[in-house]
Amino acid sequence: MNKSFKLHVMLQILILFVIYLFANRLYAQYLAYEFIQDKVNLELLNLVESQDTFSNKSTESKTKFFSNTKLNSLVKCSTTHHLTNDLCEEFKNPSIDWTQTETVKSESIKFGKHSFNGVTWKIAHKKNNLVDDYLAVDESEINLILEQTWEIRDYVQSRIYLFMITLLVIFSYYLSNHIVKIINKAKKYISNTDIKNLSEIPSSPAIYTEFQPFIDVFNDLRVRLKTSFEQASRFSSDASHELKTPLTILRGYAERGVKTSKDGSNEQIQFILMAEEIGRLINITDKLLILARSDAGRLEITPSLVNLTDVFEQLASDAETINPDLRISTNIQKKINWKCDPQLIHQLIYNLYSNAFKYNTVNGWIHFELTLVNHELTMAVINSSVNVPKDLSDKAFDRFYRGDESHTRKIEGTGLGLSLCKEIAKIHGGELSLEVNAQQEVSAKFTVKVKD
Amino acid sequence: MTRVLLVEDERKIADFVIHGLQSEGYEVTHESDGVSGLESILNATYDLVLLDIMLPGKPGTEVLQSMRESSIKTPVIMLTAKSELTDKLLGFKLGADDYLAKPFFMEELTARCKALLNRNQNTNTEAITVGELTLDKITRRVNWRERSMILSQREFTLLEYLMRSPGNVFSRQQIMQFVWGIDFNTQTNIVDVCIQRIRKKLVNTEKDDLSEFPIESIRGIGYKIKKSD
Repeated sequence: MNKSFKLHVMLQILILFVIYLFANRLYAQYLAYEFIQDKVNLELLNLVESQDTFSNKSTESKTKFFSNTKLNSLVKCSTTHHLTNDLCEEFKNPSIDWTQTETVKSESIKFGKHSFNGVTWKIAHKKNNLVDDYLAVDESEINLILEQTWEIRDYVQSRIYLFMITLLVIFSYYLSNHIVKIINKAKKYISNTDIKNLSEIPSSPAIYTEFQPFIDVFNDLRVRLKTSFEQASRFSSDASHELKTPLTILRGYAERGVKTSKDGSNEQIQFILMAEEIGRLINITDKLLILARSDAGRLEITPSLVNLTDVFEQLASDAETINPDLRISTNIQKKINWKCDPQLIHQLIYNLYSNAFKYNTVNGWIHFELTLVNHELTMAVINSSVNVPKDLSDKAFDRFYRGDESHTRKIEGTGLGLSLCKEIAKIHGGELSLEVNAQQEVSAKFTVKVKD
Repeated sequence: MTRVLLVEDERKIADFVIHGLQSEGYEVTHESDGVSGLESILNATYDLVLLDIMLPGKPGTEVLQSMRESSIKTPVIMLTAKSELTDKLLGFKLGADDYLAKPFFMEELTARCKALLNRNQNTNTEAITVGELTLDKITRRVNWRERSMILSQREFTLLEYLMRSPGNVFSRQQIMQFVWGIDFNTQTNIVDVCIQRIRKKLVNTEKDDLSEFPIESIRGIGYKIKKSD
């Protein structure tokens, strides 16, 4: 089954969006972490710089970022202010890796990290001739700030994502719809083409330049198609003349032979047989020519009103004479007239009719149906049969298909009849179907919508 | 004597058409291209013209147009291998009286010739008579000796078909195809059944001699209507 393009586009866009969200979150987390670290560094820098911090006069935050929050875990060590504890002693540990050095007012301040009793400290160290000060902050406090910030962000984002996904679905639907519309436009342009108007290339539909090559390729194809169709139809018309002339001559001589030979003589019988075979040849030629013309799109109908009720009643009454062993039943609606090509429709009806006899059984039956219900005209010939191939419904309309040859060899036929009927049905805007049921009953049905 | 002009470029077709028409007692003139055909039409008087459409020099449709423009009202039958309806319609529009697509039966052609000539001579075309047998085309009534019956559609078509060409033998297949439009072999004896019905309607087995009835069965072949003497 084909996938829906619209659904496909929506899914693709949603997947892309999810990937984007994931990447966005990772990168944002990284950026936020860097940001917080920077801010903490700056705060520590400012605090360690100021002597007020150690004199305990002020605990005011020095940077704007921390103006509303206080670093609760702040540990102060100062030699000048005699602030010291176990931690302060620990900070003097020479194993501390001072990774970063900032210079403020010609004083260099070092930053480092140190774990002590399971707590990781971020330490700022200022040292000169007079002072040897440390400021340390518990890393987990920094992380806590990060987490708090993140919580707000998550809350906001979760609402926004819902909104964004809805928006995306609408957007992708709109987008795919738009594309499908363009394709439909192109399709409409192409579908207006048939064999009859191949030569007239209609003006391109107003679609985007990117689609123009598509239309150009099609128009190119169209020109090539036209050439080959012209060749094919010229062939059929030439063949018509070339075949019919010798056939006319042959038939003429056979006929003359019948006329001039003695009645009932062997010569006359031979001439008659010859004439019959020529007749069959003419018949096949006619069928092939109609098919060839139909293929070339040159089969035209000349409609006139046909009284189908009369035709069917006559056929049903003939059926009893043609084969008195068959049971004939009918459901023929009165006064059905249809505007169609009389010759072609007769050919269609006769083909179905003759098949019903040819492929019937001993003591079988034929049912004729002609109805007009709700503007739908139905002509059906249903008959009993035997040894019906299982794939009959699919294959019967193939040219030269003759069923199972071992059963049909004895039955005369060209295998062209039903494919011809199909073309005749098609050109009349109708539908021809062939169905076989479990009881080996074959139903050939032609339906067409008719105007009043 | 009835004079017929045949304009046809295929020599072999012309041969048997000429032969067929001559055996019906017509005087046939043959031209093999459009230009000399038109010349002949303009310079001589004919009772009937048989005109092929695909002709060298000048197509049959143009010949027809030129002769109608010169007010020559001779009936014309168009002959062609092209059975395309556009040609047919064009033919009638230009003033053709009939149209016969190749390949045709010579019987068919002579029958149509006769019908056209009869129409032109204002003779009664509503009935065909062969010997004692008369068939009314309008009422489908058939008369033979003192019997008079109405025929069914199929019986009428069959009898008319045979009566159009008395003396000619028609095979069962030929009759079946013409009357019933059937071109399949179903081992049916529908033709024989129909002939028997006609015979039964007209022949009184007590009074009449069956051998005097004009429909004659030719063994192994088919039927014919006996020519009136």
